[in-house]
Amino acid sequence: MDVRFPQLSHQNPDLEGVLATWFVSDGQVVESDQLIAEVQVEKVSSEVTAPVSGRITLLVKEQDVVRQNSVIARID
Amino acid sequence: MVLTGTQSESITARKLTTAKAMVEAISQEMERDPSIFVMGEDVGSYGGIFSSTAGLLEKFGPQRILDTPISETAFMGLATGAAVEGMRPIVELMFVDFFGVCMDQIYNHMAKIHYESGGNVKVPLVLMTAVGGGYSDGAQHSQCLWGIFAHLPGMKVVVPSNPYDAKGLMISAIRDDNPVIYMFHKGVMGLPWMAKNPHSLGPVPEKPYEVPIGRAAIVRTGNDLTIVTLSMAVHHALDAAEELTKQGIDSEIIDLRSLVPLDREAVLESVAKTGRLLVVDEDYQSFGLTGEITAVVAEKDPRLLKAPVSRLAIPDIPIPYSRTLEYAVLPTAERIVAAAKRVMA
Repeated sequence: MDVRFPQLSHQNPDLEGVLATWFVSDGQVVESDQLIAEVQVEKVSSEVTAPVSGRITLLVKEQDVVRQNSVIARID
Repeated sequence: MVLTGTQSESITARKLTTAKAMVEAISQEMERDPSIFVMGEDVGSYGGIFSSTAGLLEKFGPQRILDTPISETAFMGLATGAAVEGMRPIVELMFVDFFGVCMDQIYNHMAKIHYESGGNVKVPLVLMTAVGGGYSDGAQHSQCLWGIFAHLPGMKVVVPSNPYDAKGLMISAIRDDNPVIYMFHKGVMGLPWMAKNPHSLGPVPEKPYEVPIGRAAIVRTGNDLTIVTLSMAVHHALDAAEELTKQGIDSEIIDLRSLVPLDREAVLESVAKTGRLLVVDEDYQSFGLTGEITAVVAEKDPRLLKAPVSRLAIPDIPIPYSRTLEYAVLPTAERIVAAAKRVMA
């Protein structure tokens, strides 16, 4: 399942944000609802939790600039 | 003195930032004990300007998470009164630099009531406060000032440098019946809007646990030189140690973690082994921590030393706003390497 960068700005859906922190490592097994990342859009930060349990593949690096709603990880 | 084997990293260990580790400690203790509450400026819906209370208002409501007016004297007095009456307040002083306006409440009341009452009245209170520079916040928002609090009797002082200690020391501070000053460095909180610091993220057990107050940690073992430090400077020292190793100098690093009580034994044991001491501090140099640690060795046995002690602290000037000037006075890895080489020369 894809994990997407959350939509923090509803007024401006094209806005880019930053993947601030990965709390998990690439290839790690995560549980559903586990905290996996913290992201930020224009100084507003938000937590990202795992939608399902499984092995996570990280698709962006910390400090990468990412568009809202784009895929940042996959959990298989 | 303990080796921090408890922090040993495994791939599956859950990691938290220091800020989230603090919040988890407070939250777990609040679930256990209804007499605990949190107050301070912007600790409610804002979650603490350095995220030390993020999410607590949503979880515990405005009866237990209280935003205060900008009147530190009033709410420090309120916290002390609540503690005297049997509650266990956690009160946040937004920046330690603001202590001046409320110091009478802190050092004449909070710190002295237990003594003045002949030990009959307890003040179980945690005063948590943000310290440190490195992000151009100027002379009135970048200080550490732990030397001032550690100088005055009646308060314990703890200074975590990483997420594991942040959670364990917070739980110990909350459970302690004395007033405990809990000083967290903004640079180790792991905040998305601060410069990235890889040391601000680390493994943290999910269950509550205590890190004992008054016990230093050896965060790196070595034979040539002892570096005694604390807080953010621990990480600068670890970076410096890597460079020093390349130059053939094997340094041992002590993270004090607590200033009151001070783990003098840990310092003495290490210096007895290495014979050389460098003290690194992000507080001001004169009349402070670097002199105190030096005195620990000098009073016990100066013959432990093969070379004169070296001190690296903020020179006695206000902390500059200019990034270049600020980094010229902070105890950076480069400056620690240079100071260590002077001790070894």
